[in-house]
Amino acid sequence: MLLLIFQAGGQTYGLNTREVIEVAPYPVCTPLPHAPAYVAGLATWRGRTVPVIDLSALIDGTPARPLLSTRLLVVEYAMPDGRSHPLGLVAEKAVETIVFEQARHEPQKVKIPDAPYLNGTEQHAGRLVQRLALDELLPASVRDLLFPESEAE
Amino acid sequence: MEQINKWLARLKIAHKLILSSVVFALPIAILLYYVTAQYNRGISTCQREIAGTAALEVSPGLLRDLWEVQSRASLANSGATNSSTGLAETRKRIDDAVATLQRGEDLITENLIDRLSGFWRQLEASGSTMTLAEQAALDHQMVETTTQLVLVILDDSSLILDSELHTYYLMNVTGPLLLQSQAALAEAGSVALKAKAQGRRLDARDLTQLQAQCGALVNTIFPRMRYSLETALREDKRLHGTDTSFQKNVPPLFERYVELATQLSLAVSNSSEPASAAIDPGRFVQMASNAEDAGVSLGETSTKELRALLSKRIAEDRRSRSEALLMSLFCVGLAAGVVVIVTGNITRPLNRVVNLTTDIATGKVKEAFDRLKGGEFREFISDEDGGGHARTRDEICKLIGSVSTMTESLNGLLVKVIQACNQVAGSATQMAAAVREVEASVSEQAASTNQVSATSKEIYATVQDLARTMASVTKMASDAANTASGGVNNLNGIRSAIDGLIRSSEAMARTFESINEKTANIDKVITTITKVANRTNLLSLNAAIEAEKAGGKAGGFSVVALEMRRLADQTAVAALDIEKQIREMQQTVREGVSSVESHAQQTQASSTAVTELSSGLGQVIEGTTKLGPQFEAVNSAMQMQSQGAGQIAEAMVNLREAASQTKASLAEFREVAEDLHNAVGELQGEVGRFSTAS
Repeated sequence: MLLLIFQAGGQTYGLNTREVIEVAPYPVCTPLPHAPAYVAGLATWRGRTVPVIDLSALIDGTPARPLLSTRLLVVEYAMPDGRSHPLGLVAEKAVETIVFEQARHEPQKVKIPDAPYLNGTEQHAGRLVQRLALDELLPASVRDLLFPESEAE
Repeated sequence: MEQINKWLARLKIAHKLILSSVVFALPIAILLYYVTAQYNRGISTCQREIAGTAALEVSPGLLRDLWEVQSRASLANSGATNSSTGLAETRKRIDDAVATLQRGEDLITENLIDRLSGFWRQLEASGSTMTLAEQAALDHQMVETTTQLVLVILDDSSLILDSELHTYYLMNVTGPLLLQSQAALAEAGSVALKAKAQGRRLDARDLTQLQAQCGALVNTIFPRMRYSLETALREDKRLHGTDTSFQKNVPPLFERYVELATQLSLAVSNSSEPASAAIDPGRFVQMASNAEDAGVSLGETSTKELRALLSKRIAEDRRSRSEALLMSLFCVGLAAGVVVIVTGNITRPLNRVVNLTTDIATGKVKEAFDRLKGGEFREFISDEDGGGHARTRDEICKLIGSVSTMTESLNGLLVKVIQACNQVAGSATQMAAAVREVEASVSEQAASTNQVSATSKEIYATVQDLARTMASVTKMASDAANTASGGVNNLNGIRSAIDGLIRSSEAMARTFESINEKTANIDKVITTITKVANRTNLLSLNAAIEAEKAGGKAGGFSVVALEMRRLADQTAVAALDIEKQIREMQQTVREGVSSVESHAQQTQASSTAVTELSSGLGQVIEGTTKLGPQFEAVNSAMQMQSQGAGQIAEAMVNLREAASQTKASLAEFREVAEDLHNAVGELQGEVGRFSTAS
């Protein structure tokens, strides 16, 4: 299994590459007024407008720095009702993929109410990588905000 | 005694006066009690005597009847037929008399009267069963008992000490003396009656008996009766005046009694003559009986009078007792009124004086003074009463006068004391302030002295150093003059070397400029390399993701993607290393350029300085040669100054000691002044309690 790893607040997190559509350079985002702080805004990807979530802001509370290694991860966001939408995630140090064995995956032991998206840990070269569960990333209110039901696809 | 004094000290004056009055009223009450008791005793005695006179009243009649019964009994026994005609009447009278006695009996006479009635019932019940002798004996016993009864009643009346003696004498007449005379008459009558009953004439023995009885009657009993009666009349006259029923009624009856008895006595003594031997005993019997009747009526009347007198006495005693009671009560009431008035007269002004002095004690001197001035006590103080007469001043008035004078003096004194206090307090405050100022000045002076002393010591040391320095400078100056002349020559060589240095520096600066430009070009190339490596990395990431999605079908493709990314990463790292080195080099070049520029400036400045030094040294040489003698003069002056500074330091030490002594004295003085201030403050506080009228 291949994990795309990135950093937020000095810690390493990983996303399953099966959920990633593309890794793109750091985009120019149009901010959404009165949206939560971790909603970076709207960006253009392959001629489409996709909502962008700042993972550093979401996990650590500080916005991602505009560096060369800071990139836009376009993922296939699956809704509970079966629909799926492309969603942009801004992540720092998203420059590497790592191969993991599913057998060595450790499920999440500590449940944190404010961080439901943590989905167990992997070990790689002496460091812990926390996996993210994409479907738990957004609370229902923000999900409904970004992807209203009327927008059928 | 102490406790009594303590207790008395707790009482108010009014209470003490009332207590004294009670103490004085106590003997009066006791005296009154005894007087009343005496009156009561007299009254009760009189009442008992009135009761007793009931017995006295009936006893003469009883005695006569008893004699008559005896005589008639003896007559009946000797055969006389007409003797029983009056007997029933006599017996009835005796019955009445005994019943009267029984009604009036009391504790003392009870036994005798019971015995008498017993005898009488025995005698009545006996009738004809009893012999004459036995009847006579019983009769005689009754006579004895009656006589004894009368004596007991008389003995019981202990009126001998009484002032109203006529009752005693009258009682004497009514009682024993009358009984004796009646007994004598009865005896005489019985002698004659016996002779008459026997139908014979009186013989010589009978006459002798009659004479004895009559002689005793006339010679012994009647004078005593007369004496007693006269005394009683005299006393009655003295006490109740001349016009009383006693004086009117009793003497004629007595005279008649005496007259009848004297007739009997004369008849007896006449019949003792041999010539008149034949004397009818009936005549004697009749005469004796008449005399006895007169005695009975005398006894009844005098008893009645005696009772009246006694009643009068009781009334008088009661009236006197009431008068005594009323008088005493009136006196006590009068005394109580006087006590109340006197108490009020004493306590009222005293209370006002106490109020006044309480005001003064609590400090309200002004109010007290105003009250005095307002004339509240004028009535006590002034020497004249309302009518303009000089009045006698009692102790309370004197006390009020003294208090008034005292209050005025106290007020004046307080006013003066308060003024004095205020002045002294002001002075003390000023003095304390002045002392504080002086003390502060002395402290400042001491500090200044210390500073001056320290400064003079520093001057001394500095002058010493300066002197030493001057000496070495003098020496060095002469050396410098020699050295400088050689230095001028060397300076010319230094200037030519500096010029060469300036030229080489300018060449170096130009070289650094060209290096800087080339490095900027290298930086652009590095940036381009980094961008390319970044794009390559992105590309390789996407390739790896796509290969993973494709799974086993793109096995070789994923390896290629991984290699590509590794190459891109290495390129990026290499580019970053080069960029870092370039940046460090650029920094070094910039520093080199600036240091070369400053070096050139310094070289230029050195060149200018050398030129100035060269010209200056010439002047120095010229001046130094002139300095030598001047240094000597300065040096000697320095020595003098040094000595002066030492002396100043010593003087300052002395001055400082003196200042510290002055300061200590001033501190003591200040303490004294503060003590004075405090004392005056306390005094003012004490005096301030008193409000004054100024």
